[in-house]
Amino acid sequence: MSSRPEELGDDALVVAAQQGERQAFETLIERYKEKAYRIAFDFTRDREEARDLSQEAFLQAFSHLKGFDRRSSFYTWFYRILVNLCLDYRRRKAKVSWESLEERVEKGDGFPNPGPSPVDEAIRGQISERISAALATLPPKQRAVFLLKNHQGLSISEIAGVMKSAEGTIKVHLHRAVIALKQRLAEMA
Amino acid sequence: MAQKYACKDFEQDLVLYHYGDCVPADKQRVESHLEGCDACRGFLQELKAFLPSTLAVDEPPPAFWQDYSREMRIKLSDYEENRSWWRSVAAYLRPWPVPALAAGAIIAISLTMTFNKSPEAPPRDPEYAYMASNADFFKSMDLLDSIGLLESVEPQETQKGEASPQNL
Repeated sequence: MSSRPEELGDDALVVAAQQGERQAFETLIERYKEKAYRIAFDFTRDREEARDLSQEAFLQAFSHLKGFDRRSSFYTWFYRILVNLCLDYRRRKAKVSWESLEERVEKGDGFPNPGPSPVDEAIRGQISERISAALATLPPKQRAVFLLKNHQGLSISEIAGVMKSAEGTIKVHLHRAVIALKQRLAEMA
Repeated sequence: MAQKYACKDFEQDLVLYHYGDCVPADKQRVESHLEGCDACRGFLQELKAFLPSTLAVDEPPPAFWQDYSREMRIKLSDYEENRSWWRSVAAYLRPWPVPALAAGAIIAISLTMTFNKSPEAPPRDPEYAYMASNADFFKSMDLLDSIGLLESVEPQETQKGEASPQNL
């Protein structure tokens, strides 16, 4: 590579990484690590889990990079890996703790967070806890669509690409998620 | 919190409108509807108020991001190391030993099949062995059976033969 990796676009970095230049992939990590972490955090609400999930997504992307045909952007392809990991995480968690979560939501205790720092607690506050609890009650796909739209600012067509669904389906998921959240928050208030 | 409800036909479009994801035709339709509908205007105001507040706030310290990058480099190195180990195993197996071993196995099997095969294998069952050793006896028995059969047939034919000249 003649120019510095940081100056290259995603496509050029992907090509370089596919040819074995690890530094190119590390540049992609630097470019997307915060976004990846934030989407993982939206799903997990736990700093350690979010870090592990987002790092796992990068590793999976790295291991499958040779098979990436660049028909979609790296960003969309990577988000697909990450969101699938997050959905799997939610499914695993839901199996373990759905009942206890329901009880806590009903009591208004908020989403269980194993070990938030005092700073986090202060920042979030009670309203944020309620929102977390309300988000946790959404079905996984509705939640994913909502987070990608509301938190990540992806367009409907980008979300459709990430979730491999029709745009109409994404619109329905988003609509239902917003209405359900609104309803939940009204009930908690 | 008293909820505001939108007209059912416009609810989904209002959500998309809030996010700026309406196609131009729908955007125009929503805007002209909003001009005359208090309920939908109230619904939209509610979306504007509560949706931004749902954003998760987590700003890890700079040290977190430094650790993140360092950990990622270690994980990538570990992954590459594992992959290169597997590749070296595969590379060792790929060029010649596997085809050579396969060819050797085929030759060994064919040689075994060729030289282990005896021209006339003796019957293994003792009963068959006994019958084989007394083949002549059994052949004579068959002959005796045939003679007996001929003898039983012959008198009938003789009777028929005798009768015919008399009839003539």
